[in-house]
Amino acid sequence: MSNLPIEASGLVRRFGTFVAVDHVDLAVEPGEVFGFLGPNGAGKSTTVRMLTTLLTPSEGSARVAGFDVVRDAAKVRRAIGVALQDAAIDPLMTGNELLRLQATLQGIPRAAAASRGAELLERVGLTAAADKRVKAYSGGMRRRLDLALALIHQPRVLFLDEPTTGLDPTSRIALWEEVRYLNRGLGTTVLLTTQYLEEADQLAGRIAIIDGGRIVREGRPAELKAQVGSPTLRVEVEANGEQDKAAAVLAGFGEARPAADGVLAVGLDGGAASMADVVRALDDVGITVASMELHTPTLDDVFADATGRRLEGAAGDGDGDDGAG
Amino acid sequence: MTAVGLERGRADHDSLLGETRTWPVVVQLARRSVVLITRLPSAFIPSVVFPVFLILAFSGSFNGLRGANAFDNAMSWYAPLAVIQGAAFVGVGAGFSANREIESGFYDRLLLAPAPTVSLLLGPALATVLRALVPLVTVMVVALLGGAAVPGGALGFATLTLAAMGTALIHAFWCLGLAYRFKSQRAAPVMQIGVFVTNFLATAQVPLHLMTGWLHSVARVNPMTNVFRLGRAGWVEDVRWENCWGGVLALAVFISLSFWFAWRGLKRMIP
Repeated sequence: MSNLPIEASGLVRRFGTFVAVDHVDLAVEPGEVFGFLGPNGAGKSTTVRMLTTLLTPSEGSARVAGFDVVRDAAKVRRAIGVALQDAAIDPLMTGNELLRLQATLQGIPRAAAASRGAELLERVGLTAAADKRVKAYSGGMRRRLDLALALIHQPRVLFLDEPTTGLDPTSRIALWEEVRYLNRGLGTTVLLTTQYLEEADQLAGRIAIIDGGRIVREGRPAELKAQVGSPTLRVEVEANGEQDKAAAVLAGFGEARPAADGVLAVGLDGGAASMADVVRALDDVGITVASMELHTPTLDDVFADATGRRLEGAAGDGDGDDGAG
Repeated sequence: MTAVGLERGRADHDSLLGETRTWPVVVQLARRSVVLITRLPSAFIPSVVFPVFLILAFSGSFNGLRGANAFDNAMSWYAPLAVIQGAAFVGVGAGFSANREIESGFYDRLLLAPAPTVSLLLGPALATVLRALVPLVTVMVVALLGGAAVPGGALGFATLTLAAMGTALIHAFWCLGLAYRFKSQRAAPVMQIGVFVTNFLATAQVPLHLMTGWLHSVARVNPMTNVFRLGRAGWVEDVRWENCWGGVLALAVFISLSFWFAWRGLKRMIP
């Protein structure tokens, strides 16, 4: 194995006869945000728990920050930061107290811990709430505190297990910004699990889609989407009588696709870049376009292509028609 | 990120961290536990109220045994029981806390730290000893106000404190061990039963020579009988070594065994 921040080979975890993680291979590059995308129960958290030394693999091996997760578990724990699902934070303690405790657990000297804690609280916008008990925090504040706790020792590798689950859109976007800063500003390698398509699309340079404990697709979001097929252009023309003429023009750009009444749809062989040519061609024959919409494949399409099912909760979270990312 | 950037990040990380030592972690964990008494008093108050109730109820109910070849002073006889019982329940509280934190996920935070594993046991142990001081002092004060005599003087207070702290540690380690195995609040009844079985099948209520049948046989070999003898050493007569050594030995053996039980459980949780 090489010296990548995160690498796993044939990772398996069984609970009795149930196989939660089934021969997972991973190779995360330094400074990368790697997204682990899948529905509930797909094996994301179990994989993270193995990589963070909280669970022993049933088979296979993994190295994090250059250390074996079984043989050198203590060294792995020293090198990583982890924000697990549900932000398990003692509600009776204050943000400051939790940071002090976390600093002690990580072996940070008291003076350094105080300045580091203050710096982190400021960065996550919790300075004013630092001496309030966590039970008074909102869900977003708890997540941000959890992130600060995970960062107290400046980890080289950061694991975020569904960091925005249950957060409102504003808190979610704020947390994304923080992850971007950590990655781009500080060069922290991040492994992020999520069931939100948009989150994976927005943050991850590469993603692995996991289903039933197996990785079913892996790559850059744009590449994965491109593999699913060409984007679909939906066109609505102004005059009803011009539909046949418009269909003939569109046929020159790709295969017709099913669409609602009054709408023409075509799979663009030339990709999104040929959209301008379509507009020109329609204009050349005197057709007035009422509306035009480009639907690029989403990660949900990638998931559906790989598994035959749609990702749970996809409709509300990542069903973008603009092909973000 | 460039290789230079990675190296810089690694250097920042390494320069920030000292060696994670056991004692600071133990102190922080214990401090947290003690601070939480004031934040969640409802979880702690029973361990103070119950022993006070116990000493008042038992010394009142069994006062008639005075002079019947049992004991001279009911308060002096039952104060050690109440103190030791209270300490045992403080120990059980350590297990309850661990259960709650395992279920809530907070314990993962502790397991993920590079702190020495033993500190995760010694922290709650120190907290237990500190928390056990509250019922200890409260019951002693109530007992003295109620007319308890302490013929053993300062040494009598010391032997009772030793018996109480040892009992608290035994139950803390035992209950932590259960918490690590059950990983849920289902362990709670088992934890509590341990206190009743060990204490009330010993000389908790009456001297051994007044017990008969199977209860006498069990109490005679129950190590807690020796612990009660140690706790009462200075409260029913002068402290004498022959009344103490059995209790000290029982505490030493059972603290070691319960610590081993907890340690094995914790090691099963940490790969």
